[in-house]
Amino acid sequence: MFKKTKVFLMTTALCCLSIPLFSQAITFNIKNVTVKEAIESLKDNSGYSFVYERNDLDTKKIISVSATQKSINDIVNQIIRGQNVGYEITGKSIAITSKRSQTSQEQSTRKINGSITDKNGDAIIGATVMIKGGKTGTVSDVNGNFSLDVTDQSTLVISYVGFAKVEINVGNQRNLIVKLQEDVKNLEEIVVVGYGSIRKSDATGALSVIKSDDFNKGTVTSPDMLLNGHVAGVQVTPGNGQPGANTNVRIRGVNSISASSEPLYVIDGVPVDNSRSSAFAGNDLALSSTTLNPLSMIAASDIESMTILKDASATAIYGSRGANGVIIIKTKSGKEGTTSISYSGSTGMSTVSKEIEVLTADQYRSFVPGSGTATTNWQDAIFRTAMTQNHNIMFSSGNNTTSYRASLSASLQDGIILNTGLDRYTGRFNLNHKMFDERLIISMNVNNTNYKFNNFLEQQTSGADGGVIDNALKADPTQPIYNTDGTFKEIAGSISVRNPVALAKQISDITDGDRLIANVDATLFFIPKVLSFKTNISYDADNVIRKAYEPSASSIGKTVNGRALLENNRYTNRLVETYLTYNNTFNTKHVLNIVGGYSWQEFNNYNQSTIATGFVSDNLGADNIGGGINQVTQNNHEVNRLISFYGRANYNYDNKYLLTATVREDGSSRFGANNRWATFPSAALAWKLSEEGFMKDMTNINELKLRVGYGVTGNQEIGNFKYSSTYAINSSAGTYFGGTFYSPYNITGIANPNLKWEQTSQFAAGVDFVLFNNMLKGSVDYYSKNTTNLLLAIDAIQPAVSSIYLDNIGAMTNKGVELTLDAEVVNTSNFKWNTNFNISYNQNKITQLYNNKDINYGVVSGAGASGNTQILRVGESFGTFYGQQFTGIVNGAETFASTKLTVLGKALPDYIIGFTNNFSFHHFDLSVVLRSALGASVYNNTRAEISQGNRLPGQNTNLEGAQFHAAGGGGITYPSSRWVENADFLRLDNMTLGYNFRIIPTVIKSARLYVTAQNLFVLAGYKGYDPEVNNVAGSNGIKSIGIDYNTYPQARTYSLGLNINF
Amino acid sequence: MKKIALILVAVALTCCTDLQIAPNSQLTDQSAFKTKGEFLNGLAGVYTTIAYWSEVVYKPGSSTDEMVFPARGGDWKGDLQPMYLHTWTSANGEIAGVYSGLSKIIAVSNTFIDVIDASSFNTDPDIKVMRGETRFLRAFGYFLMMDYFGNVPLVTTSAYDPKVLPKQATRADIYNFVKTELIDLSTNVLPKTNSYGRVDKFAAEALLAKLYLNSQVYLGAANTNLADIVTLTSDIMTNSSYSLDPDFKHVFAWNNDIGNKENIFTMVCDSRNTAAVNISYLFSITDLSAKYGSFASGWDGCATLPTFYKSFEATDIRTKQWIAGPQFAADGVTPIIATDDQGVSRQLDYVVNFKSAQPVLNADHWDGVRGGKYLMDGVGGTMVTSSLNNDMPILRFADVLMMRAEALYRQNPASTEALSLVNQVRQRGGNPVAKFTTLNDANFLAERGREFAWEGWRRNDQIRFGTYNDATDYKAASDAFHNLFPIPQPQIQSNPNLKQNTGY
Repeated sequence: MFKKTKVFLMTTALCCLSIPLFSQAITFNIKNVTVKEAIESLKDNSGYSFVYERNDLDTKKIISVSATQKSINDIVNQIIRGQNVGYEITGKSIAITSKRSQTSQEQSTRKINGSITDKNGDAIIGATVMIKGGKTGTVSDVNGNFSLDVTDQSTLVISYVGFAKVEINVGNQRNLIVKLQEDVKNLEEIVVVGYGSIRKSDATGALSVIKSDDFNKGTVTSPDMLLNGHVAGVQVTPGNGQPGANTNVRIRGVNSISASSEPLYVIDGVPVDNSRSSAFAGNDLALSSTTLNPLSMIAASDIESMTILKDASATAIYGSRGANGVIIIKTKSGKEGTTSISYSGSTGMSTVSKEIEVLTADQYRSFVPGSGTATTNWQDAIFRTAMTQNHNIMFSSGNNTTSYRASLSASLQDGIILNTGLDRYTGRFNLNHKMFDERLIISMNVNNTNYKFNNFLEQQTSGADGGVIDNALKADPTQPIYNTDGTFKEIAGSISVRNPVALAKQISDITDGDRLIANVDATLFFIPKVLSFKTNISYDADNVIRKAYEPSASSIGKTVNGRALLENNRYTNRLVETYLTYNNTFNTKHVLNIVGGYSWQEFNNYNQSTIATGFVSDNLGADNIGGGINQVTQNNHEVNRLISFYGRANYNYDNKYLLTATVREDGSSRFGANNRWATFPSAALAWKLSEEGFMKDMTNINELKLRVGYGVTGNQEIGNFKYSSTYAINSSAGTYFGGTFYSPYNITGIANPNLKWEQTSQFAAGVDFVLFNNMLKGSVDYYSKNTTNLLLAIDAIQPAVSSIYLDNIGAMTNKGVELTLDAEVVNTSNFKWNTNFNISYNQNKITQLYNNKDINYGVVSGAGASGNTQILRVGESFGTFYGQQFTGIVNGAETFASTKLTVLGKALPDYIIGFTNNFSFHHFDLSVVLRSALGASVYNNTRAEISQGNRLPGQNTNLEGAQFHAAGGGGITYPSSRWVENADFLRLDNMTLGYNFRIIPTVIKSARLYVTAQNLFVLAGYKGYDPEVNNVAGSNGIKSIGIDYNTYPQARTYSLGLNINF
Repeated sequence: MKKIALILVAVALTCCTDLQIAPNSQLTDQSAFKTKGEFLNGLAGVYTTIAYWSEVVYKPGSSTDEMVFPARGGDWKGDLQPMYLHTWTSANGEIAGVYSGLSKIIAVSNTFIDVIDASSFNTDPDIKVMRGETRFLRAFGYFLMMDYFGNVPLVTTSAYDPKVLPKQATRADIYNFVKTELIDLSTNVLPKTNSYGRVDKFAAEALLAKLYLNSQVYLGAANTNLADIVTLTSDIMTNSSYSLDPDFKHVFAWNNDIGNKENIFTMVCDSRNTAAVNISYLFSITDLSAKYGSFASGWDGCATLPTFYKSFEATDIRTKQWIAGPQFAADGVTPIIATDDQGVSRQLDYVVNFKSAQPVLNADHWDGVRGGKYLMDGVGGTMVTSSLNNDMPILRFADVLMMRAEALYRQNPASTEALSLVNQVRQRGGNPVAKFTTLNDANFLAERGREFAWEGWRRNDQIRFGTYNDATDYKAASDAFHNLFPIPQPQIQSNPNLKQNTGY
């Protein structure tokens, strides 16, 4: 619409030129004279003189002019009648112009219609159509059609990613049919790597790219869940089913024992801090420790692509943060020459995918005669059908200098447990501007998300009486939820059961925050396309308030007259970096690309929390925490800084041989004084065999590339000041001298000036292939990672101020093979079937521990058996379960093969598999994502707790427990193989059926309606809610994996969505 | 121009590579101890390390005839169970905890001494006293290390270098170090009186007396210092303000800091403001909030043994420190109803005799008499959290009298002064128990048991009296090498200089 207005204005302007601004009546009559004579006579009469090119005007032609009180135009028209010329009057001067040049000025624009297809005649949607040398253009719609205002002289430039660009002279054509040919050279897209981008075919390292089209659909709270199942070697495990809960992403296995194993996330060039800590004061507060996934602050609809860098040669540019892999997120931006407005929205409905079997009220009554008369399914009572809404409005536009994109998203997601959920409002703005003949390019991204996280009483620790899920499983099913007066029914007496519905409804726990991520970068080309200088400045801040209140009316806040928590957290991350890029080709065969830069990044973490009890009124809660007594405040402020120098050289000879060499020098304030700076080198080679002469005849092989690389990367997620010994001042652990209180200077930790990063050296090799006329694409990768200098808390040599000493002492290896296949199974004009299959095998092995001594961890507690369930042992995998071998129940007692503890399984899978199929049939499309993990085990501590023999009467159990009880059994005595269950599963993760509308008003470019089902079914033998669990039960400073204890269950979600583009 | 460019480059290079960041919420060596007042906070940091005493009470304590940690159903199966049976090994985590807990007292003291020595305040008389107190606490730590483990490294510097492994000293070396330190401290350094909660000259004398009392154990039969003990205790009895508190309950009451007469060396506790002590172990009770208040709950663990409990006469005031039999609410009338191991709701009843033949392997949750020394007045005082509010005495005047009595008794078993001193302790405040007429090893040790039950000295006493390895209620006789704990396996592995104690 905008362009049409412009054309109209231009046309109007042209018309104005040919209409005289003033009109003077002239009388001029002359007969049978030459044009020349007429011109001279008119000049004499009226003072108008003619200017003309001799060739344009035939001055010898005989004419007559008859004009009485006519305008000068009328007279001129009579003089030049029959000649192929026009004229222009300026003052008293009449310029004669040839008709040819006049036509170009007066030319009328007209509409041309066209349709763009691929070689099969299938419509190409979104191809860019531009007028050469002009500023106008359009994109093809859902049917591949476009229309554009052109002139006969226009040349159209039509381009689309993956296809060769074509130029077409319009001439007198009115309808164009353009068939684009696939451009094999350009088919592999440009991928973003650290500090630059490369053609994917030029990559020497292992990297995968997932575009927004391939993202998982439906209700997805965080970007990492978008790629689950799509990338070989990447395992995404939700911490639990709570909306907003943290996920665990493991790229090529687990790399660390006590530091983080999460990859580094880089959003639009900004490495973000993905860890969150809390200054949670006091241990009496029974709230969930579930942390909010900080990545969920980016709306999925704003992400254009994610690049996963897997091996060291790809991640070494991120040095001390590269060991766990890197995920580069590129957000969408406005496109040149297009204006688009779109709305996408969905609404979803989630239910719990499975309930855990416990005795029904009738079963319970049969075991416990004389119990209550009510029939309550407590799980049904705490679960609900949760509604979800997602709305996203986007506007983008751009011309050849400036483009921008603005979007607003709202995501309102209720959790399947009462009083849980996550609401988010995200605003995002992106601006790109080119100036000085594209010598300076400036871009800006601003993203702000306001979020509200409604947490629940999870409380996995022992001692207290359990949280919502725990109580739903143990509450007496013969008791009602409510008393007759409408109050919650709490079971009197000393049995530690609380009404789980009351726990869910009475206790509030809201985290309210704003996450701002903003960056501005400027690229200055000293030599266009060759030498540039880029500066990137960014700011990332998360301001969070958590408010929780346990009212005195609740069973949990009763004894203390209400308990409140008020917590303020503020995280900031500032980044300044600059780098030079040199890109040049010599003698056509040598292509060199060099990047060298510097970066400075500082992370601040402020937190403060107050807990108080003893409230007069329940009505104000944490908003009047000062009204409570016994206030305990804790706070902390930590800063860490990372300063880096980095460089990378890519050399490409004849598009056959590729070499990449990278080095990064990282200085981190987290490292001890003797090891402040670390160097991380890498090198990789690739050989494009398919470019060699001897391969040219093999027509079935479109591309074949061998890659091999080696590099060293680090993991600096070891915490701040771990190297130092400090004095903590703690007013809750002091002493009295003569009745006066003295806060102590407590020495914390033993200084270790040698403390440093964990280091991973990785050898990786791979083959990339494109076969059968681009029908089958894939990669096979092998890697061997050796991680050393693992941070471990070792026994301090006494006497020492602490029993532990932190040192870089452990080692582990991860070895694996990955296979990815992308195939066009069927590709006809009406039916298409694409499939992606990936499978990865990883074997983790601990190779060194302090004195090679086993370390027990993975502590379980609660009403089941308590103790460690996992072991770190040289030769075994991380996450190995360890305990007694259960042999059965004899005379009401658990029996074991021996008191000796043995290896019972491991929490890490051998194989992870993703299988995606996309079908399209006429207007319909269907995608199905299947996911599987094989070879892992789960410790089902929830079952261990329910299955006790001493829960009846008063607490519910399952059939196993009821039979155990009947046999005279009591508590669960030891962590054993009885609770280690097979975690193999096959999950129909995501199924989406879409319909693309064809009959649509012209203002709508495309419209799509879809339904998505998530987590539709899980084939698993596991007895708990879901085998994919990840409760953290830390002990000995080691985070456990694969322990299920009252985990928030996974939901099954159905959503209906609509996308419209204008 | 060039110069300016050079300066700019220099500035850029320094500010752009600056990685010096100090913690914002904690002090470092550079930012701490800038003012004299802070040294009291530093001293407080040293004193808080003796909170480990509460763990001494139940860890070594449960290796004696006064305490056992039964396994209760699925609960309490761990390294505390072998303590009572003397079946621990060098891999025992609780013993490793004792080793590092006591070592921490030494290491933190060493650090503070080094801080003082490096400070410009080191000539200040107040600071000098603090240095003396710190040396006392270090000597106390070494005393216990020597008592429990025998040969341990003697380290008096705060430097920690994992490559420089400390050498093992002999038990005699440690003994002499502790003796020399305490003599110097009591004669030259520590004042006659100090603020409550801080040690004075008489604490050093009392600890020295304790050292001397056991010198035969540490150094061999030829070594006795009985006369020295008499001298030291005379000094305390005549020159200090300490005396026997006529109210036995008050010695352990939640307000025992107020009007303290008896406690010479005390671990100060406040339920809100002092280091959390593992009192949940010692309050081995559950379901008793109706009797003692909402915070008086524990972990339902250790109990005393039938023989030990029965050595108390019913009339003895000190019997009230035990929680035994059917339980009633604070009114003394309303029965406390709880669920037993069979799932039956009935009156809570802590039975004296364990039902199983081996409680260490399996015991009912209600089996065994529980300790309530710090609750014996029937209320939990002003507890606001489940931490202890009562100060725990480590050395008290009653022990000074008993040590003097023992020294006199060992010099002359018919000593009338010894008998009189024991009876003075026994009958304090009109405690209605009969006077002893004679002293012998058995009644002397039993009397120490009644007076100092669950106060952390039972192992020391039993070894000195030679009964530590005897068979008791549920325990067979054990070998004499158990008089020393093993040096924990992690320490042996980390420090090849350490030689394991005989027998392990």
